[in-house]
Amino acid sequence: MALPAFTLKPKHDSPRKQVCDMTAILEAKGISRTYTLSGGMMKKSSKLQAVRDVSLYVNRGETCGIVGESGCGKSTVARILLGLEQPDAGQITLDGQAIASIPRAELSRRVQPVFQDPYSTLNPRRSILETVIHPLNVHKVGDAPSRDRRARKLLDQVGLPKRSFHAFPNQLSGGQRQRVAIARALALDPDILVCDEPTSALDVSIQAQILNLIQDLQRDLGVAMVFISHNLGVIEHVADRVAVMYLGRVVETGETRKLMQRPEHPYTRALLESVLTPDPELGLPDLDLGRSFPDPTNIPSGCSFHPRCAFRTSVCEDSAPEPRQIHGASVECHLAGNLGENRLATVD
Amino acid sequence: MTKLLDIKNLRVEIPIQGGAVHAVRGVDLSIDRGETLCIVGESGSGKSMSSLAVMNLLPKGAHRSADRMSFLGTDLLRLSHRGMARIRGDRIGMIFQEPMTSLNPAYTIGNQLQEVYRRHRRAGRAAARDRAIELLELVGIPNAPLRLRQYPHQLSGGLRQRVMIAMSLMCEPDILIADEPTSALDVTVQVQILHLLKDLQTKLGIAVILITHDLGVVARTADRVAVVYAGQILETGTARQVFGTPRHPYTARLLDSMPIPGMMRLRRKLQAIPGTVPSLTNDFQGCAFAARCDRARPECRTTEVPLVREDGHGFACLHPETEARFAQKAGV
Repeated sequence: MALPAFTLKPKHDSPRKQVCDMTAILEAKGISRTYTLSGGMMKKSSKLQAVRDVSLYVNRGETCGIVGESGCGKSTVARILLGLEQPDAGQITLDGQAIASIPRAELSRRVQPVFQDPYSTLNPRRSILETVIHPLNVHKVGDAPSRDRRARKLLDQVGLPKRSFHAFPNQLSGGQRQRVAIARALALDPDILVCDEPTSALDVSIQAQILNLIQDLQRDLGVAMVFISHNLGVIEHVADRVAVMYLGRVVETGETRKLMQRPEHPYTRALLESVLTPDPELGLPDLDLGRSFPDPTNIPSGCSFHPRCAFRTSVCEDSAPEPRQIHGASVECHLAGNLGENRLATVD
Repeated sequence: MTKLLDIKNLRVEIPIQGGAVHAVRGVDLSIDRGETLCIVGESGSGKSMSSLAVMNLLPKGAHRSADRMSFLGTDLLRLSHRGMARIRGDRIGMIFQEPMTSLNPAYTIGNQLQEVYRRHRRAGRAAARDRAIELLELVGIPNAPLRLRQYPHQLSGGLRQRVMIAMSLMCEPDILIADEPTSALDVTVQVQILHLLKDLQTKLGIAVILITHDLGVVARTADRVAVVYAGQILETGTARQVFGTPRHPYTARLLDSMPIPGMMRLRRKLQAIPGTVPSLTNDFQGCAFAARCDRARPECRTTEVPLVREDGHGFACLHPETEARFAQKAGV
């Protein structure tokens, strides 16, 4: 293969301007994924609906955040986008081409993952430098000296000191390991990075370092990103647009800034309130979510959020809401627009 | 009134090849009945080691020492293993971050809950079962009799942590030590568990030592806070003192590095703290944070920095911060 990737030049002259260039690099249309859980002997198997008719897109140079609790299907979406999992229905296109028709090697070069726990995704017997060179070897990019050069440059770019290049993962801190994982993901100059909770295992001060690094790299390289997190505070920092998932559905999506200022879905509001800011005057927020837990094997009828919703009416129990456009955001809630002022929106 | 738990100058050393890791270097802690004390710090700050030292659950080879370590007048340092085993799980309960690893996957929830009670209280099976059901209901787990027959893997993360809390409360302890109890949970579940801990505390009057790295959790739940770094307390006081007017630059920088919704409207970058936590193998001179501190001057690296107190607000810094944070907003 040729060496298009060897200069760390931005793909676009001005990555920020790129946001305005609304061509989707990655698009998912109506994807669904259901798993069958075996109930064991003599028991009925049950169905786990992880993702239910989700549509998403990521524009070039842009970050699309996905936020939601565990079990909401956000990691399944990540696996589907990475081609690690096949959706039961729906289609994913990468730059207009269906990913089902893209050869596996090419897909893995163009879409790269960064996972939560960098320790379990790094080979403990490979040095940092070898780790970053490895994908270049696998994809036969360039020759040995150029691979070495590129790996060193990347490691330098993610802020690892030269003396650590020959270290092994167990000699590094969590933040440094995540830096290695990011360098490795960037080695093949992918079109899109899929980051699944990349900072949840890190300390706050280190999380800030990694979030800043990710933003800097995106500005410099213009790579598009899907950024998955359960923390809206983190999402707000990195994402241009955000999709809020609940029980396999995108219940609210829109531009991050607007969505944070005017969250319309009751679930988005609860998520936003549950971000504990270090303000000693506030005390614990009252979420009004009730005692029931979301269970993807037993999805409630009507609006799937209604058992936990403080605003629910009889309509919510009977019919599933269609997405509605409000203030430029798409919201799946019967009551969207009529919830009254958000408690948080006034603090500012 | 005597303190429930009173610790002076706690030290923990873990011998390693060619030296020792000084995980805890002279920590003073005390807690009263019904109080929430939060120990906050990053990984490697010695916050977990301090609590393990109290419970005498340190890893093999680790050595603890203190000028004083008394629990209700009992000297924990002199207590035999047997004596400690009687207190542990009975008078002092403990919960950990990952309930899956602290629950035994081979036994049912009921089995594990009842074991604590039967062992410490010499109760019969029926009494233990009743108590277990009572506790599961107390921590907000519906359908308790069914849950007793289930195994840990059949429960969600939030439920497992509730089970752990129930287990630690089986014998109505005086102190509950919670080591990162909500770090593995969803944000909404975290809020529920923290509410639960607060409710239980008011109901049962237990003291809670909450160990966490999350400043948000601390600010919203703590009566008193101790900010630890490299095995030392750098700042301590009420939550309002420590978060309203952080005096130690480490506390201030930690607050700056938190992503807070709304802050991004200013398109502000997160203020990361450069560098990493210092190695704990050698004894360092001066302030432990000096190497990463933007306010550090030469004397910070050479002179011993004592913890000075102003109105109960203690901080170990020669050039303290003075900027108030949330104080102005309090009136809103």
